Amino acid sequence: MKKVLIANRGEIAVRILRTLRTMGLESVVVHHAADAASLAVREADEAREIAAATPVAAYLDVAAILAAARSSGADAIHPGYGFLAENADFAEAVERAGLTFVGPPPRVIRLLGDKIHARERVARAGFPITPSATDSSDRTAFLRAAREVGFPLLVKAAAGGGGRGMRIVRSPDALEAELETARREAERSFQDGRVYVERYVERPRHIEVQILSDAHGNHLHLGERECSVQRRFQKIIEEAPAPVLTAAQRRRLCEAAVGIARAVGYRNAGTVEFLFAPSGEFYFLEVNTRLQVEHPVTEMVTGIDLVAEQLRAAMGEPLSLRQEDVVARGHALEVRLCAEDPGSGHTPTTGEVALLRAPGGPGVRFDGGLCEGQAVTTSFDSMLAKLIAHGADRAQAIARMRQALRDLVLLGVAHNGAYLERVLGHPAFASADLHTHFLEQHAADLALPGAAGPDLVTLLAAAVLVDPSAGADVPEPYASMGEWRN
Amino acid sequence: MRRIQSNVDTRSETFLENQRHNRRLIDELRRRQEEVRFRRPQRDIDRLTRQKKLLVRDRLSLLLDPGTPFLELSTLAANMAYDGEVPGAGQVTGIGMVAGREVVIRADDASVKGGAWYPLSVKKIVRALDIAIENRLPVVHICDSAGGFLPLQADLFADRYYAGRMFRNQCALSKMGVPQVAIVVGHCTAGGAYIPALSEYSVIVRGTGAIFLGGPPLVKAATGEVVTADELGGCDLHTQVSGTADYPAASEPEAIAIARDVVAQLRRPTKTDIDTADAEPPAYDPEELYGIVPREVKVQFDMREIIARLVDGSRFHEYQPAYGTTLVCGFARIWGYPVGILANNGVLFNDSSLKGAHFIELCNHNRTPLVFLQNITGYMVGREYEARGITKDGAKMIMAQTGSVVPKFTVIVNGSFGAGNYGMCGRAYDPRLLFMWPQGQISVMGGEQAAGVLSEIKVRQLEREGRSLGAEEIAAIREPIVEEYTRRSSAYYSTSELWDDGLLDPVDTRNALAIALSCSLNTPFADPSYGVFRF
Amino acid sequence: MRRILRVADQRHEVLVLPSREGRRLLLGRDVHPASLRALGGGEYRLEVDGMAHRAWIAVRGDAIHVHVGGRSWTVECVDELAETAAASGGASDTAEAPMPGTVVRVMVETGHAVRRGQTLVVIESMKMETAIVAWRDGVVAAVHRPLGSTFDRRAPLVSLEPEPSS
Repeated sequence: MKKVLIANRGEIAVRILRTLRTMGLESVVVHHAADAASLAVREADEAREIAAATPVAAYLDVAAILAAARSSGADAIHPGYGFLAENADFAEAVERAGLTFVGPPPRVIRLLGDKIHARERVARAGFPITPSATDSSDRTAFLRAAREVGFPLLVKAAAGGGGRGMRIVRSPDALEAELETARREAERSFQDGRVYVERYVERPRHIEVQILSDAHGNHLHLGERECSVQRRFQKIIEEAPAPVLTAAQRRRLCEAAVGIARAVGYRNAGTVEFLFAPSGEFYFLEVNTRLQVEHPVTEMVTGIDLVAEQLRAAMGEPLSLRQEDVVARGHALEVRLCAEDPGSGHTPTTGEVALLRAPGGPGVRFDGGLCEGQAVTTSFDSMLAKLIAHGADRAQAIARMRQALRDLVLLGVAHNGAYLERVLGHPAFASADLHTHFLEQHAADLALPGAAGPDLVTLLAAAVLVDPSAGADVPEPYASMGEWRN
Repeated sequence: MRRIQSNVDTRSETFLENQRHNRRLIDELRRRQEEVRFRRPQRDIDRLTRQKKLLVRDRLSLLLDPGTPFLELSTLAANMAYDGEVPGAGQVTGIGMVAGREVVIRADDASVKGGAWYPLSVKKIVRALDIAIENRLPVVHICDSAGGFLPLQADLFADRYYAGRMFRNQCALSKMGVPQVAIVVGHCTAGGAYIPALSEYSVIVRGTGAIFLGGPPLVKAATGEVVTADELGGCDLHTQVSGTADYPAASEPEAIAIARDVVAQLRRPTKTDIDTADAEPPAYDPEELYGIVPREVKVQFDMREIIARLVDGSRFHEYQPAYGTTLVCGFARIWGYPVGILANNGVLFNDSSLKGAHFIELCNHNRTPLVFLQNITGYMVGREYEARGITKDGAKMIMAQTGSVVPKFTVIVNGSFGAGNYGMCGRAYDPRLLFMWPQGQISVMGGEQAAGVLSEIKVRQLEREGRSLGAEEIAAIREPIVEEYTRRSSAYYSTSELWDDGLLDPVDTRNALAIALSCSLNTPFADPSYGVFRF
Repeated sequence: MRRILRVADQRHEVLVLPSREGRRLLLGRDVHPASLRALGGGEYRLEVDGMAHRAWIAVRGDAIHVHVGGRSWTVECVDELAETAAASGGASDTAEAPMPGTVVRVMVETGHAVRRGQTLVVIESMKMETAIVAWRDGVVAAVHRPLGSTFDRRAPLVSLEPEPSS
């Protein structure tokens, strides 16, 4: 492997580039014209533009990506996350084209991509899954089975992921209608209308385990991450290790993850997601067959470059680590900076990156693909960048993250930086009293206050005084006399 | 420049009594100003509300740059005329900031007789436009007037300084390159129609604004045509068809905002380059002025104590401190502007007159504006002084003062009597602005003397008719004469008749003069030249 | 000078006046001495009421983006005249012909929703085509002249439904 094509954009493309460079590998990025001035394109050794009707379509155009790989002489393709990362057909096409796909084999992607089959396989291997019922052609039987799962329950799309297509049903009366809606949505979003239901665990934590497997049947885990702070099933804040696990719980969880990897014949980096009930029980959720957005927290505590490990695994090399070599040190947090307005229901915002000053300091890492002048549109996901903070313990990591968020200057597009800082400052977050509805539960506390008092005066002063002519238009002595009347 | 060392004992009985007296006078002034500005019969306010019109004071605050001063002129005009029923002569005039430009504002007050123009209204308007001409100040007119008050037309129409003068002044301003902006928020009828028409820019409010030579009733009477005010001269007609007005506005606030935007386009004047400095407040508290001005006009006081509370840092460079000491002359600064001050410390003698004439010439050549602080009973009389040529020395002072090319400003601090008024730049000598303090008196001679002279004549006349009068009868003759004389020499009478540009609370004098000085620098100073001095 | 600013949905009026050391801000009745010094790269040193702050400021059109006190804000500048005009409403609901001519294209029908700047009809006059565009967002109430018809100056061409008064 000499030259790797990155079939992605934004922060993850830049992230992968950095590792390629340290490993002495050449890089090619593909991009839509809208990203022509992006950081990834600027930093890559080569860039290939893909013409497409929409910006997103460019990153989903398998034929064009393969053509770009051929023309640039790349011998491997890293898909990043999202887009084609978990598309088995793409992985297959890459391999057919004689290139290396940096990820699991298509067979594994396909198996784990079907959430229904994945659950069955995991359950067969003897790992816990939530009580569930799977859609079948016999709608009446399915409905009955679903009722037996008990309420509240969660309806999910078989082909879904990342929280899309999920709905909570709290009463039997609503079930049938909700199932119909879910099927329609699944059909529209994934071209696969199959759904399944599972027991909805109240106040669960979302804990996942990073796994790493080579082509030689070696499987190990890099510890867990907790991603319970979510909004509409989208992770907002992730951390490693999970703050409340006992050593025994951690061991069981990680061993289950490795067992599942072994059971499915996993290769490359992946993530096994679990639902962790307040009772201490955990249930398998799904396996993400790719690099996760939140992988940096694992990197920060283990000191392992996950992208480098992915590339080595893809090259067919055996793992360079044994399980006992993996030692977690301290605590790491990641927050996702998104182009959204916390003041109006987190609706997406657009703009132009007018000013960007990434924060620094001990343990602070800024993963961004942004550069000044870049337009932020609704063409892509709203995530702008990630901020990662590492500390000797959780409290220090939180303190560093809060300071980093205050130090981050990202102007031109409204974002959730101040909101994240507020979440991290909440006492319930400090005491790690987390669950997947944390943000809803504390919504009132977390609402950002508007500018008032001296802060407002300071803000208005900055806004007004930046125009040097402001105040220069009223001449003396009028200016100094104030609102004098005779 | 040396700081004046005040000799006032602020704990003395005299000071405290003066203070009580003068504060009472100021309270009275404030009360009367407040009434003129805000007290209106409810029905007039209701009528304006019904017509969706703002009160003139609200219009003003929308127009002016917030946080900036407004020097209102002749607030109490007509306070002793028309049975006191035309407060402010139905006009608001003054100097203020609009979009960072120094402008004269002239506004009709429709809450007073529908904004009708009385003779003193016309005088006030002409005066405002004179100020604009002399100081090259753009004018913003807020037009809402029923036109000339017909029953008094003989006193406002035909003479040189009557209504025609308003339009003549508008043309003069335009010819000088000084623009005017008219905001038509009500009717501009008959002559009033020329105000927007003669303005460089005009804004008119749809619905309430109208401009026509003859209103609907007059048109009906003249030609039988029945037409509404809006059809006859409304916003759309004038901004779309006739071109009489420039900018349509949907509301008064919008009209005023447009006018502000227009003014923001006007070029800023180049100020006459005089040696200004950073401003500095007086070292002595101006509030102490109340304790310094005596209760009686005939009680003498040191004008330096007044100067110390008007000028920057209370610093005063006194010229000829040992000569002609009844006229204090010297240099100082007001809000950073250099001024030459002439202030009366007693009757004018030959030496003080010569000193004054000489100092005026110095200021003209030094390009220093002149400030006259009047407290003057006149020039000295008597054989000795006539023999020394007091009349020709006084004439020299008048000649020098009248021939001045630097701007002049006058404040009548206390008495202003006889030819002293002339030498010290009274109204007739075109000071750019002339203010009066409320206890001031102004007449050809002091009230007591004048009443004495007048009653003496009357008594002699009666005696010639063979009647001999007792002390009581003489007093009965004398009293009404004194009363009438006092009334017509009071500051309130002066300001009612627009002999001044307004009564000032003494502590406001410094700001008023600073604004006046700032305005005066819009007009270049001519080269010094004088008439013939009699030596 | 008066500045009208919006932060989130709050409207603020700020007066700026010069002072010897910097400038003064008037907010309501309160006076705040303030100064701002550019340090380069969008960074500023801001002093307000004797307190020093680091600030980063970027101006894009009417939006002023400010990072101060550990938080980013967007302050919108509101044009005084536009605000007053908007408050007065009363803009005409009908487009009138700027000159006599002929309708050569009709691009909308009654009931169509149109965006400000969208062409409604095209007229020809003196061998020149002129597009009559929507002067605000709205719904077409009437197209007064059919294709090919001629009209005089100030003839109504297209009306929009009146705006709901706010």
